[in-house]
Amino acid sequence: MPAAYFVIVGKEDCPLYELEFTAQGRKEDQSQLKQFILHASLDVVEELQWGSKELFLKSVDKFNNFSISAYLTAGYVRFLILFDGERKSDDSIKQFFTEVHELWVKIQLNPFYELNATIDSPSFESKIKQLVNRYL
Amino acid sequence: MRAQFRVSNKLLPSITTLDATNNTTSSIVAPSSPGKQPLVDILDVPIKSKPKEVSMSAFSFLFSGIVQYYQERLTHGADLEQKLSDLGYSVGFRINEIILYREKNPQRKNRVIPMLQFISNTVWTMLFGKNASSLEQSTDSINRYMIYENQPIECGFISIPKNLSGLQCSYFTAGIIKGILTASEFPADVKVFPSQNKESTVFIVDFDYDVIDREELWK
Repeated sequence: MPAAYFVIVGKEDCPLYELEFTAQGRKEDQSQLKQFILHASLDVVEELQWGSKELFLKSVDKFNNFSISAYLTAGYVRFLILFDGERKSDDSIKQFFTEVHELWVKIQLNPFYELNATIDSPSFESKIKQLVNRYL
Repeated sequence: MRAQFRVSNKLLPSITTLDATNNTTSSIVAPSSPGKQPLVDILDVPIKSKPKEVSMSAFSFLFSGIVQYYQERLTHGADLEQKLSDLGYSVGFRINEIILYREKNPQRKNRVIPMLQFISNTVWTMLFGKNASSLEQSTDSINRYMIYENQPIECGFISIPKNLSGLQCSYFTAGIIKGILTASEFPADVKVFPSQNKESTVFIVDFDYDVIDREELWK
C-alpha cells in the first residue's frame, strides 16, 4: 500500500475528513508538508473545475515526488489524494473515488449532519479504510 | 389525475436510528418485540435506485403542519416566507448530490444555463413528477432568470386567508432551488411571485454578479 494522504474538502476550503496512510514500518514526519501541498493544489483544482464537466480530474498537480489526484462532486466538494512516490492506475483511483462519493452522498442526506461540518462517524472511517485496502 | 409529490424516503431510517454525531447505535439492541427491526447503519442503505413515491396526502399533511407551526410562532407574514425558504434551503443543499449521483452518466454543471435546465427538468421531475412549465431569461437584467410553474403542487391544498393575500407558500420550493444553486457554487437569491396573468407562479432567480463574471470569463 503506497504512502498517501486522503482529504475531503468542503465549502470555504474547510477539510471535512482526513486520512493518512503510510507504507509499513515507516514513521510519518511530513504530515504538515502534505497538508500544505494539498491546500496549494486547491488552486489548481479550482482553475480546472470550471473548464470541465467531469467528476474525476485525474492527476492535477505534482510537487517533487508527490502527485495529487482530484475528484469533484455535484456540490463541488473535493476529494483529494496525495501520493508519495508510486501511485496506482487512474482506474483504481477512480473506483475508489466513486465509492467514497457514494458514502459522501449518504452522509450528506442525513438531516442531523450539519452542513460543512467534519465527519466524525466511526463507521464512515472504517468503510474508508476498507476501500483503501481494496483499491489502493 | 392524482399528482404525486416524490420525496426520498431513504431519510426515514436515518432519523430513527442515528444521533447527531452520525454514530451508528447498532451495538445497542432494542428490546426484541414483534415487528421491531435491528438498527441500520445509513452507510449500508443502498441509494442508487429510485425510492418509492410518497403520497400527495401525506406530504400535504406534513406541509400544512409545518406552515401552521411557523404561523403560530411568527407575527409578521414575510417571516413565514423566509422560514419556509430556509427549510427548503437545507433540503435543496442535500438533494443536489443525490440527484446527480443517480444519473446514468453524472456530469457536473459548470455553466448557468445547463444548471437551470437541470433544475427545471431533472429536479422538478424528481420532486413533482413533471418538468417545470418554462424557463426564461430576463431581458431587463443580465443576472435574472425566471422559472414558470403553472400548477405548484405543494400549495395545492393551501387556501390563503384574505388578510395574508400576498403570501406565497411556494417559498419552500424557492428555498430548494436556492439550496441547489448555492451548493453548486451558483449563489443566487430566489423569490416567488404570481405571474402577470395570475394563473401561474414564477420563481425569479437572481444570481450574484460573481457568477455572471465567471460566465463571461469562461465563454
